Amino acid sequence: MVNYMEKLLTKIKKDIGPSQDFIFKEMRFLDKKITLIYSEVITSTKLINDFILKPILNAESEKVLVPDVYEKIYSILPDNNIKKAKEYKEILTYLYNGFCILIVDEKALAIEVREDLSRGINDPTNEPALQGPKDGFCENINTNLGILRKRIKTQDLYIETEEVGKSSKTKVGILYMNHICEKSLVKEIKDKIKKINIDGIIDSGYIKRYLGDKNSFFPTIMSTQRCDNTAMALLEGKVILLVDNSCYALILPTFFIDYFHTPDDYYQKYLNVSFIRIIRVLAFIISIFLPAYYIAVTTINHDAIPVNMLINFTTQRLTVPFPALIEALLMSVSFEILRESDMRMSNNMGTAVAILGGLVLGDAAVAAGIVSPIMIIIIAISAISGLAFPSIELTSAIRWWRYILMFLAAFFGIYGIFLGMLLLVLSLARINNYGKPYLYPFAPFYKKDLEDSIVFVHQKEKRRNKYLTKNIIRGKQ
Amino acid sequence: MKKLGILFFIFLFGITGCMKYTELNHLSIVNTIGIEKENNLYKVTIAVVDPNNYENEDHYEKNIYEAMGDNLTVAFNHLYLYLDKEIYIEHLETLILSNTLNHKDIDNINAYFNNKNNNRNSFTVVYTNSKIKDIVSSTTNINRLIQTNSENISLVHPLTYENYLKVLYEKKYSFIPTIRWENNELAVVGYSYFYNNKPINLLTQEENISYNILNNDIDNLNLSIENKYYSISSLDTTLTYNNDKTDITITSLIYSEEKEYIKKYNKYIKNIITHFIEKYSYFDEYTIKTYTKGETNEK
Repeated sequence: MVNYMEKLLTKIKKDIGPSQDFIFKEMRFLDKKITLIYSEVITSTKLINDFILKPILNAESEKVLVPDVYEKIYSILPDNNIKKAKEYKEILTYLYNGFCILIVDEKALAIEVREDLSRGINDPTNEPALQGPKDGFCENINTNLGILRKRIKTQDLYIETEEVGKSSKTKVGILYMNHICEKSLVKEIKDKIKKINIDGIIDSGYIKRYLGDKNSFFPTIMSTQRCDNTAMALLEGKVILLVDNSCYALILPTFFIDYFHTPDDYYQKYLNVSFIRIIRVLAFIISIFLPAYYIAVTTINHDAIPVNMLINFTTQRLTVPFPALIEALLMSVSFEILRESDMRMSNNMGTAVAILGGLVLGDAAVAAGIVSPIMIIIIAISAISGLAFPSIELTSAIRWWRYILMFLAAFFGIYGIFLGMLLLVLSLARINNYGKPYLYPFAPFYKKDLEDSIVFVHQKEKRRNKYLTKNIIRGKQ
Repeated sequence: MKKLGILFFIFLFGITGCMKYTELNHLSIVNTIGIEKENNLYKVTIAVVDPNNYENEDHYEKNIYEAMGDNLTVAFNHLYLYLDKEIYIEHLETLILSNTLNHKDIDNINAYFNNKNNNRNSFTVVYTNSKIKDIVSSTTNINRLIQTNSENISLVHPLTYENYLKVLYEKKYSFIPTIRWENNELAVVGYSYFYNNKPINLLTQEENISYNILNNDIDNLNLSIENKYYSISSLDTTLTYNNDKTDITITSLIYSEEKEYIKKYNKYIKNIITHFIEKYSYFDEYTIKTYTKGETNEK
């Protein structure tokens, strides 16, 4: 027996390699040699002391001999998650998952003593809540599941889990409301998750690539840090994916208009929300079309603007040596560089970058005659409008279409802009979104669901999207 | 499908503005064109806005260029002897026609502008007996001059090139606002009557008013009838076509409730309009009805 235990320990030591975080603690219990193995970086010393060592020492002091030491230990440990590891492979899995392995003779017990390494529940930093709950997801999937369970207290909230990633073995939670969500949708998502062949899932963003439409610039899966947004999506009949070690939940499928909404919309007066939503739509249009329109009217369709404005633009462009397209590209790329530097810098330096880039360089570029003031205004308005949306994927899609439209406008003028508009609508309409029309409720047109699209009249609280569920009326079980 | 796509793009390059790509700073923005005849040649005078010295539509400097040619295309092409930028007339504000042009010349001018598909037809047309260069060089905004006249004394009303063509092709005649350079100032003279593009005569003051009344272009009218002053704050004309007959209904609002006063006004209006219609054969058969409401400020 001793030989077998020695062999087992040697094998474990060999498999974990030179990692120094694994502790092998030998001790005696009722005259039997037992060994504790755990990783000190993912387990809690306090839990090991309180729930393993103390009960064993207390039982040892009683000096009552028992026929089966293994069963005795199993019965005295107060921990609620103790597993009997039957295979060698299981021992390693538990070891790497924050369990303490207790080896008695040839048998092993796995006791969960995982250290809570997550940073706790914090504000959703990328989607600040102006009104409504401030708790955002953290990197611990169990905490995240708990947050959602706290919001939806019903047996209809189903949570299924899959393990993805050959090395990372990341837990992926699939959440849906059983009485609302379409079974076929859940099955399709589960099948896609099962097919993911990757060694590691570091963040939910990895999964998004496998589940969304790869051929479109526009997002079909929404990442969110906000728990209220996720709970709303569940009640609408959407599927939520929670990935361990990721503070972003994935909502799918989504519709184009969803990216113009925020959870805060449902906590405010509908008139104010309608106004803000119109502003968001305007921001989308301005962000994509404004630079293109400027290029078209200053290069081909000069007659599309009043003469005073035309002369004003001419005056500003007199010293600029580049064509309008190059000037616009120069400014856009400069802005992208500035944004990227600002994002990657710490907050303190970010302010310096913004001042240097925005004020000093902008002013100097105009003074040096490299760009015209109007071009700075156009690109700034367009870029700021593109940042009016919480979804970074939508912002990126807008950026791509802005460039496409700029080129079309430079070659074909206003005809090019209309052509681009047509291509934009076509590309939105053809998005593969789990069989759901991405442009709904505009195409196919459905008047009732328009009530919660651009103008908001609290429709979402009464009805669900007919393409997501057959259970359309809310409050009906 | 691919071939269709390629063909589509080729057509697109051809039919869209791609071929006329011009940067703003390569344009000579023309706001006034004057055309006259000299030694049997067309003489084109253009005013090009100087963007370096442009404050607003009332305060700016312009450069004047002149060129001659035996037809308009040649004359315009000769302007490139002096210009380093492309002539841009899409935002043309005023076209000035000289009395040195005969009806054939005006036909040619119409043909020239009609064939240019890149200009708007919203610029105004004026006629003059003075030298074109004096008028084009003037710092007075011609359109503003005519507009102000129309709003205050209703002697002339701005005529856009589009309306000029419309009337010309429908009725063979036209009434073009006329200006004159006198004492180093621009002045509005009234309308000039053209028949088949041939200048016939300058309208009298009564005829100018009558024409404006018939076209419902009166904004504000002040009259002196038999030594009495009339201020008409509103004048609305409705033309109803009944077979070959035109019923003209004129509704006015004047600042007086005196019956005799109103009666004289109605009679005067009927007289001047009848005279105008008969003289210029404006309508074949017609009736005139006047409705005048007197009103005083005391209420």
